[in-house]
Parts: sequence; C-alpha cells; structure tokens
Amino acid sequence: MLYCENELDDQLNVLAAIDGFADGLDLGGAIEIDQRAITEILRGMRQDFPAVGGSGNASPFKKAANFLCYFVANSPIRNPFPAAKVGDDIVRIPNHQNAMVGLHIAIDSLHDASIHRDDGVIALDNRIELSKHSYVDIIQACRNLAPQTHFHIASVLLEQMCYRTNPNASYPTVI
Amino acid sequence: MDINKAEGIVTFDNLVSSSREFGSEERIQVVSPAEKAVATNAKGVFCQRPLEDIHTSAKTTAQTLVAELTA
Repeated sequence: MLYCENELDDQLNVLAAIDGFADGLDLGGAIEIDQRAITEILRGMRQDFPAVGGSGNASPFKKAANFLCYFVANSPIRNPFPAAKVGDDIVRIPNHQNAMVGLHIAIDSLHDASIHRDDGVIALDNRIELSKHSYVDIIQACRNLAPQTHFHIASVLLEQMCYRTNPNASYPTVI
Repeated sequence: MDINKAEGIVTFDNLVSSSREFGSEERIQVVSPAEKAVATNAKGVFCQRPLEDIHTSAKTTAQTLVAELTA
C-alpha cells in the first residue's frame, strides 16, 4: 500500500484512504487537502530512510512509522474534524485529523504485511485492535510526530501493537 | 471515489485542494494509466490491495470511530 515502485501509486493509495475516511465521517462536504504536503510526505519518507539499508531492507513497522511521522509532520488535512463526528476527547487534540488518518493508513498497511526473520517469513494476519481509551491516548501521542525525533518510538509502538494481535510474530520475551 | 478506467482518471469525491481557486468546489483528480487506476498497488512491500479496498477500509474505520467516539 505504501513504498510502491512508483510514487504515483503511493499517491493514489493515500488519497483513496483519505477520501474513504472522509466518506465514512459523512461530513456533508469535501475536506481540504494540501496536495503539496502529500508530495512532501511521499518523497520525504523515501529519502534518507532512518534505518540501516534504507527503506528496501526495513521492516514494515519501520516503513509504516516513517510514513506516519511524515504524514503528521506535513499535515495534509487542513481542517480539524467536528466534535459531532469524533467526540469531545478527540476534538480537543490539536492536529487530531492528521493523527487519525495517518494512524489508520499505518494500521491498514500493516494488516497482512509480512516480516522477514532468520527463521522465516511471518504474515501479520490480524489487524491491530485498540480500545477507545487507548485510541484517544495514541492520537494524543501521535499529534505532533516528527520524523527526526519520533521515528524509532513510533516504530516500536506499531510493532508492539501488531504483536498483541499477532503473538506468533514476536520474538520470545526474555525479561 | 470514482475510477474512470477508460480515461485513466481517479476522482476523489470527498477531497478538494487547499490551493484551488476561490469558490471552486472542484474535486481532486489524479490522472493515472488505466491499468493502475483499475488496480492497485503494483509491487509494494506491504500487501497489495486495490484502490477500492483501501477506500472501503478507511470508510469502515471512520464509521466505526464515529459510532464509538460519540457514544
């Protein structure tokens, strides 16, 4: 869904996800998108990938995290969502609209992705699941992600959320 | 979202550009080769998924969130 061979496919996929999200919110009108920000996100997440070997060798968690950080940092969705649609807890969080859609795309990308380990390939068959309480906390935590400072913690967060619904994908615990 | 396979144009019915002319309600369109518009994600590292599925998944997530967050 992301990091396709050509950037146009990524652009289509990201816009399709935002469009679907807006459709589901049933806002009664279109939402404003900064298309230059979309371009910046898709270029930024590919350049200087912050992991050894670049994006080509990175795990899906790192790729999804890098996308999420660039998405939130560039904030392509201009207007916040209304309280009538996202509730009072979320509407108070600045930049919630980009955190919500960016997190959705990251989670959707990881669903059915696969990870390559020394002992084989493991599919992430089960989608990340969150309680309402956790969701609000995570949107709060993600509202001001920046690639330079939050890439690693975002990657670990997505990884641990995936491991909860896909326990077979986790390495054995040691502590 | 409307995919015009013949012309290779994808129109995003719920999105307008922030740089559009004042008063314009023109929806964002992306010109894409027909085979891409039909489909897909080519060879992404993540799972391959048609545009329609990506759209539907996002819509379902948003509908669930509206129900849960405003309950």
